[in-house]
Amino acid sequence: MPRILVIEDEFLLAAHIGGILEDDGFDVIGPVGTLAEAVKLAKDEDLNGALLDVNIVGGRVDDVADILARRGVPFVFVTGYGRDHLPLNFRDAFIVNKPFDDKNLLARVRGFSDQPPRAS
Amino acid sequence: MIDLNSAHRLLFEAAPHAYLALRAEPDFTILFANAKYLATTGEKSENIVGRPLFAVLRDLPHDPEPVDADDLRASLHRAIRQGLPDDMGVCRYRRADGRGGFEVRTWKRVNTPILDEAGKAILILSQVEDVPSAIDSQTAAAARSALNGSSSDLSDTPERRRIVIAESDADTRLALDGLLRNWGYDTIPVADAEAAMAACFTNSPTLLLSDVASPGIDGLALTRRLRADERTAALPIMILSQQTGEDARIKGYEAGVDEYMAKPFAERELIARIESLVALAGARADIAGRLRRVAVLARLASVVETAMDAVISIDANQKITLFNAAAEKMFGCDALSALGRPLDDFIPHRFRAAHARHVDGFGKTGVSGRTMGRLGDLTALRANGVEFPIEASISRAQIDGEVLFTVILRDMSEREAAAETQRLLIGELDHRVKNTLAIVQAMANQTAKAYVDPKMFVESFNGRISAMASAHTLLTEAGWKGADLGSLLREQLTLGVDPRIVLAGPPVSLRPQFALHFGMVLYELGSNARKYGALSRDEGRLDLCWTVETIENAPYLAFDWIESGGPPTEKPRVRHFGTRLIETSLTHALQGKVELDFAPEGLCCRILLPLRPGIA
Repeated sequence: MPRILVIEDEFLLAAHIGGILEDDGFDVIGPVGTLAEAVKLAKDEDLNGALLDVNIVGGRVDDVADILARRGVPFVFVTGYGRDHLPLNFRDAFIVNKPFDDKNLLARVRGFSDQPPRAS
Repeated sequence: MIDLNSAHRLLFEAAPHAYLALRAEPDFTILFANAKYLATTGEKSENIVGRPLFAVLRDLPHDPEPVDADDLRASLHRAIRQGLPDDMGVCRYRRADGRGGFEVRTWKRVNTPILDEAGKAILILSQVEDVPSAIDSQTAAAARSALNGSSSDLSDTPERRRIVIAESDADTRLALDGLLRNWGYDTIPVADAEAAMAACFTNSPTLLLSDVASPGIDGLALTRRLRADERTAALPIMILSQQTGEDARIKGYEAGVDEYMAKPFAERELIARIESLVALAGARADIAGRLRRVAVLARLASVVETAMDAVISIDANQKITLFNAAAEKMFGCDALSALGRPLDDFIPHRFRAAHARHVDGFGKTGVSGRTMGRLGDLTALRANGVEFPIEASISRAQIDGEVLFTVILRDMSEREAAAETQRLLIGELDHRVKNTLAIVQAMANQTAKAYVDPKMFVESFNGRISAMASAHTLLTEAGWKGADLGSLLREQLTLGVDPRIVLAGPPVSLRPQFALHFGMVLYELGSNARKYGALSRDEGRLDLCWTVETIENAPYLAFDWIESGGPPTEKPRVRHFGTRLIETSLTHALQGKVELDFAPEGLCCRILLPLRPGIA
C-alpha cells in the first residue's frame, strides 16, 4: 500500500485526513504536527507521497519540503493561506485549500503515483 | 509768445537738474527741454519741442502698464489753478533705449506754474529727477492693492478731492464754492442738513464743510448723526462758526468735529486746514488698513503655529525661516535651534542631493505668485538620528522680492505601521476562519461516523460546535491572550447549578491553542460523564482539581478529572472519536500529556499541559 506522510498540527484535521486516506487504502505515516517529528519522518521513512500543512508547531514546513523534493517524493500543500505564504522554492506547487473537498484531496493523493519526482 | 533770452537759456540748458518748460494754455506745448532732461528720457529735442506734451506721450510705444497721463494732467491743472507747485511724488516714466525699445523707470516730478503780473499761469516748469526703483513693478502693484485707499503717494484721484459744503446762506455758499473750486476741489454745495447728509452718504466725499448754526443746519447735530453711521464715521468734518470760545469748541469736538474754523476766515488758512485734514484722514485710513493687516497676519501666524502638520519655511538658500510647534515635536528639535539651519540637516544623507535638485527645479518652474507641488513620500531625519517616513507638499511664494518655500509635512510612521498591522490581521483572520471551517468539517465527518441517526448526529455535532464556540468567546473576551481555567471549566461544564461538581485549584491562564482544545476535551469528558458516568446519577460526584507543577524547570498545569459514585465504568471496546479526541488532541503537536483511566469506581483523566511557550 502506498505510504503517505501526513503533516498537520490541528488534531481534528489530521485525524480527518488520516481517515480519508486509510479508507481509500493508503498507509498513513504520522500524522505529526511538530517540525522536529516531520523532519525525522521525511528523512527516514519510505514514502510515496506527502501532505504538508504550511504552519506547524515549531515553525514552517519549508525544510521538510526541501528534504522531500531532494528525495523525489511528490507532495501537496494543504493550507488555509494563499500561494504567497508557500515556501519560496515551491510557489507553484500543488495546493489543496482548507477547507477542502474530500474528493479533491483524494484525487491529489492518487495522482502522486503519476507524478514524476519533483526537484527543488 | 514767450521767449527766453540767450542768458536765461544758457542757464536753463546748463542746469544740473532736468527741466521741461511747457506752455500753460491751451495744450501744454513743450517749449524747451534742457540737456539733462533729454539725457534722462533718452529723447531728442527736435522730436518733442513745439509739440503738445500729451501728444508726445502718446507717441511712445504702448506698454502693459502705461505711464499715467491722467495723473500728470491733473497735476498740471492743479498747479495752474492754485498758482502753486504741485508735487507728483514718485511716478513712472519711459526712457528710450536708443534701439527702438524703452525701459520703465521711476522719477520724482514737480510741476511749478510761472505766473504773470495778474497771477495767471502762463508757463509750467516741470522738474524731474530719476530715482532708483526701490520696488519692482510687481511688488508695487501688490502694495497698491494691499494698501487699500492709502494716501502714501500724493497723486490723488479725483474722488479724494470732493467736498460737501453745507451752508444755508446763499452768498456764503457761493463764495465757499468758488473758493474751493479754484483750489482744485470738486464741490457739492447744499443748503440744509438733510441734503448734506444725503450727499455725504452717497458721494464718499473727502470732507464736509458745514456752518454750525444757520437756518436748517445744526452743525453739531449733523456731525453727531454722521458719526453714528458707519459710512461716515471717519469722514473729516470742519465746522465754520462765529463763536470760537473754548466752550463752543469743546462742544464741537465732543460732537465729533475734527476742525473748528472761525468766521470770518482767511482763505489760505481755510485751504491749508482742509488740506491738512484730508491728509490726516488718509493717514488714518492707511493706519487702519495696516492694523487690519497686522491682525490678519497675527491670526495666520497662530494658525500656522497651532497646525497639526509640521510647517517649515526656507529661504532661497534653503535656510529655515519658520519652524512651527508641530515641526518641533516631529523632529525633536526646538524652533530656536532649527532657525537658520539648512533644511538638509533634517534629511538623511543619501537623499540630500536629490532633494536639493527637487527644490531647485521647483523654484525655477514657479513663475510668480504661488505654485504648489507634492513631494510625495519621503524619508526625514529626526534630531536624534532616527529616520521616519513623511508625506510632504511644497509651495513657493515671492514676498517683497524674496523667494520663500514652505513645506508642510506629515509623519507617516504611525499610519504605515497601522496599515501593516491591518494587512497582517486580515491575512491572519482569513487563515483562522478557513482553518476553523476545516476543523468543523472534520468534526462533522467524525461525528457522522459515530452517529448514523440524524437526530443524534445533530445533537452531538451541535454540542461539539457549541463547545468550540464558547471556548472561542472566552478567548475573544480576554483579547486572545489566554483563557482562565476556572472560566473555561464553568463554560464547558455549565457549573454553578450542579452541586455534584467540585472545583479546586489556583488561578491559571491557558494559552489560546490549549484553551480551545482543552475546552473540547472537557466537553467530551462532560458529555460522556452525563451520558454514562458519574453525572448520570444524582449521587454521582465529579472532582476537578489542579495544581501548577514544575517539570524540568518549566511550569505545567497538572489537572485531574475524577468521577465517582456513578455506574461501574466500562472500558470501550472500540476507541470512538470522543475518546480519541480526549487522548490525542492535546498531545498531537501540543506536547500535553493525557492519561485516561477507565477505573471501575469512576473514570479518571490526568492532563498535563505546558504553561509557557515550549520548545518544539
